[in-house]
Amino acid sequence: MPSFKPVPFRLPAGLVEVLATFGIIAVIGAITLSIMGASPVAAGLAAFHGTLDGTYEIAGVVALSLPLIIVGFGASICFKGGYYNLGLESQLILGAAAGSIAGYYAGPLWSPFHITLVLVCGGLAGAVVAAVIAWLRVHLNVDEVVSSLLSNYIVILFAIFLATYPFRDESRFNGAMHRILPSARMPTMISGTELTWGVLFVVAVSLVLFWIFHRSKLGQDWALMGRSVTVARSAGIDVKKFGMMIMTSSGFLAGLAGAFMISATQHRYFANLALGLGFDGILIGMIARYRIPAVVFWALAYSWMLLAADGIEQEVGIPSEFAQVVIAIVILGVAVRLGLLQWVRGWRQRWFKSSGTGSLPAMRMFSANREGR
Amino acid sequence: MDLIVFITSAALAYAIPIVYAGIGGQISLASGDLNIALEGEMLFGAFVAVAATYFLGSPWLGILCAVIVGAALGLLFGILIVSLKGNVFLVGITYNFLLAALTVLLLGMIFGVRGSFSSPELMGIPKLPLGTLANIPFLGSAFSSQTYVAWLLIPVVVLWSYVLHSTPLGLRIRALGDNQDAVRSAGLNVDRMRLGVQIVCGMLCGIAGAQLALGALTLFSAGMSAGRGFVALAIVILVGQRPWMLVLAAFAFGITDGIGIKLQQADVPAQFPQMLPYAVTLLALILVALRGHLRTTRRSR
Repeated sequence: MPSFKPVPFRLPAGLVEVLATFGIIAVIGAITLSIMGASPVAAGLAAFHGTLDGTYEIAGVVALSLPLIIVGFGASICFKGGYYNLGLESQLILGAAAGSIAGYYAGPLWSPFHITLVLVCGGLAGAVVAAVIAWLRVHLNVDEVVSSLLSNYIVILFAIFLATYPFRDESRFNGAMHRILPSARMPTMISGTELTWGVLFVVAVSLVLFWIFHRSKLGQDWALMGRSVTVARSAGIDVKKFGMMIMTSSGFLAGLAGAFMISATQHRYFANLALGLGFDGILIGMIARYRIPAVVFWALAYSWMLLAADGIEQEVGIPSEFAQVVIAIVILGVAVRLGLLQWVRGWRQRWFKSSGTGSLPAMRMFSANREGR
Repeated sequence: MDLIVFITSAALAYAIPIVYAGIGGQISLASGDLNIALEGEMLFGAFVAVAATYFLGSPWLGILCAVIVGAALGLLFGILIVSLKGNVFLVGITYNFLLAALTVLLLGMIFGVRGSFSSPELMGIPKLPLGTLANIPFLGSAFSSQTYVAWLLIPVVVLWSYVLHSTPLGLRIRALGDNQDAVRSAGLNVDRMRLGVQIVCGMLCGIAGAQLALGALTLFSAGMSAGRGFVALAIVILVGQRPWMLVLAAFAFGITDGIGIKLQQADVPAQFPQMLPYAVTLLALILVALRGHLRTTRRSR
């Protein structure tokens, strides 16, 4: 129950956080724009007209946010589990390619089944790549940060190869696949806009993940893995299997996001589709600090900011990358803020320990976190 | 014979920025805060070098600006991870993203172009004249087309190798990575040392960027570092604290890149030769890990 008592301050705290972050974004954005010699007011108006002025614009913001939400989940659950899968970018793209193939070559089917097939194929393609990286990490101790970053280049080039040679649509320019069959396309929700009924699918995924990560035992174990592998092991978790699961499921979500894009809006994979979307998802996961509802919120905010920046680019002539710059600056702030909290917490733990609570495992956890990475 | 010359020069062009950035990575690894923002810092260094050279009219000033800006970026990185205790990985990921977007933004604002910038007024770094040495068969022509910055690499690696393994400073940097408390109890300022390491790393990335943009070619294009910073990172993880192995590995990957470029002219899908340097790097990473894995399992038996 929302009230002004200090005890249940979860919701107001979240609200304060959101408002504060938005305020900071607005201030940094205004400063950046003034430095670049544009009027923040004109830019603000352009941003409003481009994104919130009418059903079509709002539907566009929501439609763009849907794949970002899914890949943001992928990043969140991975980072929350203590693994840094930076290959989400290429896993998403391979998922889009796989979904595109399934949407065209798996002949006309009953539509819900065909859409599911597209999504599952995309998810599996991403999951396979992530599973390979995870296996190398878990069994051979190959650093997943570096291997996943390198895998991006290899996997994206492979997806482009698929679109250029074996699955190429001859009638199109170089490097585009066939348009998927109508039965594989998600039905439009509001006619004349890009918004499809896929929004319900994303809501369902969000609810399931919310339950898993904020309400279930599995979610607790997951967070424990992220805090300390040593503690997780002594709590009876099969660390290797769990690590495989964390990475693979994040890859699945990334691939799913790619296939979702194909089925909902793009309808075919072509070279350079969705470049950068995986990294956007990572940023969203980071700014949301790995919480499922926050990912949904920030994905919407992020897609709004991207489209607003496009509007500003058209009206004021500032490259739309300025939105990404502003967001990255804010995320650096978030990362540092987390670090500050951690420092305070560690200091408090040390203090409580000296006063006789004897929290040795907690101490070790803290130091393991610092040295393990 | 042309092939050898071609592959050698392509390998050098690929490897030299990687070695500069890799030394930065090695310093940061030795100090315990492996900087994964090599890619972004290198890319930004390339942009600064091109912009400064264009406006100031001298590639030397361009290099100087790239190094100064690199130092500033390194300092900021250091403040974020040392003074404000940010997670070095999260800060590094965001840093890469921030700097990549910033180059595109500045490219649009300063030069009014999207994608890439090149101009006849843009001067590359002068090449070191070799005189009669340029007539050495095979390698002469590959070596005579190298810039001063490329040749500077040799003294830099010698110096870094000496500092790391034969001086108190090198010992302190390595101790920083092994045990910060020991460094602290030796009466040294840990925070200031970590900051210094990141500054040097940023400067080296700045030089790497300058060589990338003004060495073999003279232009800047968005994302032109194309994963070289990540390859440098992988090499650093492969070779650990051995500077000469770094040079060797970077050159080896450079050769695969040269072979890849040659193969693209042959009748194979262009994507596979393009994958080559990344795939070989990844493979090397896996093989080294496998060797380590076998060693530990044998010992445990």
